Order: sequence, then structure tokens, then C-alpha cells
Amino acid sequence: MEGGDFIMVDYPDMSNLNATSGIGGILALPNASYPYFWTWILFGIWMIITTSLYFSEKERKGKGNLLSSMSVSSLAIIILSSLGTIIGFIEVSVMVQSLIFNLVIISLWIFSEN
Amino acid sequence: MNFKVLLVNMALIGILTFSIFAFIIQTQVDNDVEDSYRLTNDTRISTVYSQLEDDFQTYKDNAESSEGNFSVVPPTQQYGELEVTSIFSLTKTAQIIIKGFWKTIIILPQSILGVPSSIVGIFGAILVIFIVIGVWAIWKGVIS
Repeated sequence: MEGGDFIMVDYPDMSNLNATSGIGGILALPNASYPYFWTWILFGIWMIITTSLYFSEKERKGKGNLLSSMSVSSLAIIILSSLGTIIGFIEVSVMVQSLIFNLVIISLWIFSEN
Repeated sequence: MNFKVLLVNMALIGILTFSIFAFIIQTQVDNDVEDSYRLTNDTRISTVYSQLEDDFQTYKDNAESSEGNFSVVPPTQQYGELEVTSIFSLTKTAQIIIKGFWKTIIILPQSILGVPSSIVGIFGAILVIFIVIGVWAIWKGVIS
């Protein structure tokens, strides 16, 4: 074709699933097209939990502890991502990234507490 | 922040990291997760996990030997008799605690992010110099 060749990418769709794929197969489908899909979803959940905890604490007490809220939501994300590996939609590379990010935040929180 | 709190926090971080790793790995093993999805499949994680395990094993062995040393002190020992041999090494205990913390905060993110070891070494050296100056300043009462 004039102006260069096109590279056709065959992205997987629902037709790639079969009867034994289950919920894990459906949830893992976006990974084939965009490997960071679940990373962003986990980050979004982390942000939602963090901001919810922070602002609710601020409303109740007048001031909030952002690092504490971040570390509590980090623990939730660690549990969520380990469940994701059991179901089969979160890959080890995503799990490792999320684990390290969350561990560093938890460690900082412990150091900030006297 | 005093030294006691600092060391307790470091120990807490090491134990917390180890327990989180253990929780994930045990949950995956119990649920028969495929090998490709297991956390131990990642060599960086399995290396740090086994190093942490070794550190805590050493810590346990030291604690047991300290307990053994305590128990061998004869009850007939007279008052005023001085026990000169060390039954508990504070520096060794602190060293093991700091190692666990170091692996969690520095080595693990460094291996995941792919930072060269030389860069980490330079920052580590600067950090050690500041720690030595800080210890000296606290010891001399410059800062409290």
C-alpha cells in the first residue's frame, strides 16, 4: 500500500474464550491487549480507598493522616492482588510492582509513627 | 525519635514484610495457583524472601543461644562476682534487624526498578556516613 505497510495486530476478543475459561479467563482478557490494565485498576481502587479514609477521618476529627490512610489501603490492595493471582487475572509482574509499592508505603507509615 | 523506637520500627518492618510474603505464598500454595502466577516464580522476590528467612533464622538461633547462656549460669555464683562474657550481643541483634529493613526498603525496590548496584552503593555509603555522624552527635549530646 502506498505510504507504507500496515502491521495488523490480532487482539484477542471474547471468541478466544471457551467453556472452561471461567471468570478468570474473562477478567484476564484485557492483559493480552494492554499489560498494565489491572495495574491501573488496582491503583484506582487504592486511590479511592485512600481518599475515602482520609477525608472521612478529616471530617470526623478535623485533621487526617494521609500516610496512615495510604498504608491501610495498601494492605487492602495486597490482599486484592493476591486474590487476583488465585483467580488468574493478575500476573506476577503486576503483583510484584503492587507489592513493592505498597510495602514501601507501609514501611514509611511505620517510621512516621512514634 | 530515640534509638529504641528506631530499632523496634526497623524490626517491625522486617517482620511485617516477611509475614506479608508468607501470607501471599501460603495462600497461593493452598489454592493450587498455577506456577506462572506464583510469587515465588519471580526470582527477585524469592531471593529476598529466602534472605529474610535466613536473617530471622539467625535471629532465632542467636536468641536461643542467649537463652542457653543465661541458663548455664550456675546458681552457686556468689554475689559480687562479675560475669564478663557477653550473653547478648546488642550490635549483632541490631545488625540483623537493620539487614531486614535494608532488604525491604532498598534492595527489593532497587531490583524491581532495575537501578544499578553502583548507584545504590553510593547512596548507601552517603547514608552510612550520615548515620555515623548522627550517632556521634547523639552520643555527644549535640542533638537529643
